[in-house]
Formats: sequence, C-alpha cells, structure tokens
Amino acid sequence: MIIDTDRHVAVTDYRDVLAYLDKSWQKHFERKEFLGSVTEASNHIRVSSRFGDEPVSAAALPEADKVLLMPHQALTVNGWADGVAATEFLSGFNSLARDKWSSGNNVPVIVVQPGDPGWSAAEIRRRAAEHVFGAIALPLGAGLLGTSHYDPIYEAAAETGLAIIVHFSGVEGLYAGAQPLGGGVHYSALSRQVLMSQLAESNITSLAFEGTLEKFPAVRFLFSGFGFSWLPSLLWRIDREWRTFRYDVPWVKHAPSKYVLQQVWLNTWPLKEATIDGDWARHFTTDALRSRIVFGSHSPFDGDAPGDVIKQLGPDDGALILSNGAALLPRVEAVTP
Amino acid sequence: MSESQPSTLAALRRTDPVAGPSTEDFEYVCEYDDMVLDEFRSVEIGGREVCVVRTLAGVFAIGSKCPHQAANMCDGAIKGTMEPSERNEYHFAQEGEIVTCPWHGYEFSLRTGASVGGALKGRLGAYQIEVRDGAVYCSPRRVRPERPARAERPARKAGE
Ligand code: FES
Repeated sequence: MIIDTDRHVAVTDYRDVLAYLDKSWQKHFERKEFLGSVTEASNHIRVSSRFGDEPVSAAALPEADKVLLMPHQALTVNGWADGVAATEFLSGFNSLARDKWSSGNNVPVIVVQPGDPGWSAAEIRRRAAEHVFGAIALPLGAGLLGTSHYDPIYEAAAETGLAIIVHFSGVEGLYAGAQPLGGGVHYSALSRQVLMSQLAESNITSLAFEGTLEKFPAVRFLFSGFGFSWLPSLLWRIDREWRTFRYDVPWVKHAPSKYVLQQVWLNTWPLKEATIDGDWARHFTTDALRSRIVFGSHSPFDGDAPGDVIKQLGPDDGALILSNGAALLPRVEAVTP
Repeated sequence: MSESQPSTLAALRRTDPVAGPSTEDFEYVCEYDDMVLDEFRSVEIGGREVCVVRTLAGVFAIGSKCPHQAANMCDGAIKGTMEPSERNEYHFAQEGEIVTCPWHGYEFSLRTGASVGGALKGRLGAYQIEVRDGAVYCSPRRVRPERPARAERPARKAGE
C-alpha cells in the first residue's frame, strides 16, 4: 500500500471552519482581517511557483492508495498569541476535516495546539474515537519537542496508536511563539524555507537527548517536508557526543540513533536533494536508514509523485520507500472508506 | 584516607571482581604505599604495557590501549559515573571504578574493562591484582570477559 504522507489541503473561506464554533466564537473570528487572511497561510513560506495560487480545497494526486491530509492553515496556530482562540479554531478545523475531507482514502490529521498539551491530549482521544483520523499534527510551538511539556500529547499518542506528524507551518523563524531558526530572523521566506531542516534536526536531537524517545517507546514521529539527506550525519553526530558525554544524559540508555531508527521517520520531499551526486546510495547504506524514509508528495505544491521515487531511487529502494509508510501509519491503513 | 577507602591491606586483597586461579605468576608492580591515589603508573607485565592505579575503590590494572582509537589509557582520568536513570534525574555511583579515555572521554569500568552503557563494542583489557605484604602484584593474563547475551551486545564496533 502506498501512503502519501504529505498532501496539503486548505479551505478557501474560514467561515467554513467557523460554522463548527458556537455563535460567540464565530463573532469573535468574523472580522475582515482574519477572514481575509485565508490565503496568507499558504504564503508564509514560498515552496513553489504556485505561491500565488488559490489554496486548494481537495486532494487529487493519483498513484497513492491512501493520502494523509495536512491542513497547513491550521498549523499556523503556532504563530498565534491567543492560545485559547487557537484551540477553538483547531476544534472547528478538525471537525471540518472529519466532515468534508475524510473519505477513507483521504485521511486527515488531528491538529493540536502546542501551547496547550492538556487540551491537545483530550482532543486526540476525542478525535481518535471518531475513527477517521490517521495521525496527529503537532505544530512547532516555542518549546523543543523533547521537553516534558508535551508529555500529555505523547501519552495520548501512545494510547491511541496515532503517529505524530511534525510539519512546519511557515511562521517558524518569523513569529514569536513558533520555533526560531538558527542565527536570527531571515528577511525572506526563501531563506526560511531553505533552512527549515534545522528545525527537524533540532527537535529530533531534543527528543533523543531529553529521553523522550526512551520514555515513550510506542510513539512514532514523522518529520514532514524537512528533507532527509542530513539524517545519516545527524545520527553519527548524536551518537558520537553520547559516547563521550553519556553521563550527562544517563536517561538515554542506548545510543541515541537506536531510538531514532525505531521511532522517527522522514518523508521524501524534496527527493532531489538526496539523489543528486549519488548521495542516496552513498549515505543510506543500511536497511535501518532506508526504513526511515516514507513517501510524501508535498502536493499540490511542487511535489514528487510515486513514479519520481522509483525513477530517482531505482526500483528496489523506490518500492521499499513507497511501502515504508505502513509501519509508521497503521491507523491510516485501518481507516476504511 | 577517605571513609570509603579500604582501611587495611587485607581489605585490599582481591580488589578485582573475578577470583582468578593461582596468583603465583603475578608480577611485582610496586609498593602499595608508593601509589598515589588516582594516578596511573605504567608498567610492563607479561611483555605488555599495563596501567595500574589505586583509587577510592581499590587497586586496578587495565590494558594501555583504548579500544576506540588506541589512546594511552595510562593518561586516563579516574571518575565515577551516572547510572541509568529516569528523565532529568542523576544518580552518581561507582566512584573510583571508572576510567575515561584522554582522547574522546569514553568511559570504561576499571573492574571489567567494559565500555560503560554499551557505548563501544570493544573493551579494555582488565587484569587481576593482588596486594600482598604491602606490595602490589598484577596478573599477566587478561581477565576473561563474560559474554553478554546476544541481544544485549552494543551495536558499535571499536574505531567507529
Ligand atoms: S581513543 Fe579512547 S575514546 Fe577515542
């Protein structure tokens, strides 16, 4: 089964989301600054020449059996100052995803609020019981993912068997509240996009060294849209430091790469960066490493199709990567039309 | 002498964990009183360089070559370590039973030569010591390590 782990989906009018809120919250959000920002969520980060296009309301890429739907507009709550409003908005977004986008083959994620782990854990349990969601999207809030702040979310993830998807919203490195990029604030969306992989490296390192992967062995993480060519060197570096400074993190009971190679996945977009100059063949030399990469098209932005995976990685590795998603996302497979 | 230091020579006998067979062929190292706490002394035992040290936990002898990239362990530092723990908890233990390599700081048990926490597959040689009549003697044979069950073996090879 081919699962596309990174298909973007959006609303064209926020009133579709507000319809799920009570009247008072609808009135709170119904102002032209907010309603008019509906196209902005796609524009915080320029990922393609389709930058100026209208947001798409449905997924439609052939060749995948199941599609995990990522509503990137909902992810931008990591830049909101009002965390309470963010939970209301997400509650509406999750309901809309259930009613409008879920079709058995199209499986939405539950988007949670990084600033409110208690609400998020309750939302995960409530939505998991609806049996249409395939994973949890955790936007990157202020704290690194290894901190105990997120424990309630990880407990709910472990309990429900839903993987956690980490995808940037585009406001990282720009708005206070979302995670910053290294060095400082960049002027352009282009710079931020180029450097987003820093966030994945940073949070994977945090999950490993804070002992979070050790504490929650059943929780699976997918870092989506961050590229993957950097993974082998990161694993070498974290193991190298752990061997020297293990006594500083005695709660990390094995080489950190061992946890990452069991609990963390990355998806293929952008595929080209790892296949130029034979990098894939040179660095992804073990089954353990190759098992970490799952297919994600990043559609409808500049995306890769399953055929591109076969073309660029060859028939054997291509087929392997296209089938890896099943281990990461058993609940996506289980959702039936 | 600190409280945890063995107070009599008798207490120092057999500081190593593995009771070996005969100690007849043990080779003379030095007088016990000449040993400076936590300072290695390099000696040739059985034609090989061995690093002998007196610590708060006893007298130990290890092979001089780090299994990682062959640093001389006689330049190592005597330490304790943090035992495996829950997140954000530290439990200091094994004071005087751990040596760290001078090059990359990997920790090894002075008692067994094993890499602490399974960080490295390779191990240091460990030699049995006997303190007899105020003098320190060292076995010319390495203590044979107990093989861990297959599943427990660390994944990294020496040199990685
Ligand atoms: S040479 Fe000893 S730890 Fe590297």
